[in-house]
Amino acid sequence: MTLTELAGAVDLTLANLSILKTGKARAIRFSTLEAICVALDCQPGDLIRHVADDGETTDAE
Amino acid sequence: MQLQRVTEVFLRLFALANLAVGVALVVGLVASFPLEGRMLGRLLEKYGAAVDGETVVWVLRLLALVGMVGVLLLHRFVRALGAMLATVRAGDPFVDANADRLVRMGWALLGLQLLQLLSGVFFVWFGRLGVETSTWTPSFGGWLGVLLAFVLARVFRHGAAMRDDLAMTV
Repeated sequence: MTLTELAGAVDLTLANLSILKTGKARAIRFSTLEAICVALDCQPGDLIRHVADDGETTDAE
Repeated sequence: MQLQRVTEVFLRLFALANLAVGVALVVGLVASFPLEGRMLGRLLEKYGAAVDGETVVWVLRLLALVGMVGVLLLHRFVRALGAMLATVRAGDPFVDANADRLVRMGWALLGLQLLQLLSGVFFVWFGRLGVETSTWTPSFGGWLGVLLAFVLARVFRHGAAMRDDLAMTV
């Protein structure tokens, strides 16, 4: 699925989706997260992960 | 939008009137030197020899200088308010620049309040010199205005930060 197709599927502008993709977004609405999860058939954890200040991820192995 | 337009026109007229007062004060101050003899004559005519005319003229000159500072402060205030109105018209008033403008407006208002107190000193001075003056009362509302400007500046600062966050919320 291309970025343009995803933007259409989740009803977001391509510019906003780019902000999200490049990590420049300060926050994400639950509605946006849900729409992306529905479109990609995934869970929020598949999309976001916590990165500690020192750069190491805190994901459970 | 209509109210905005009326406010902008009013502000422009107010700024012009303020500048006109400033020009009148400068002209009056400069003219007070060549016209000093005539001023002293009028004072002598009205109050007799009991009033020290030369001192009164110098106090009037000082008062004109204080008035000029007031005109400058008011000009800064009106310009900042005009710039804020322009951002409202542009549709994005919650910006850091407006918080800075409110701080400047707060300082200008504080200066004007201090000048208002100083004008009270002049009234007492004129009274002691035996010159008739109108009554002087301190302006309490003005001090509230100073507080309001500084509080609003902080509100705008928060508002601008929230606006930034909102702009980057997807």
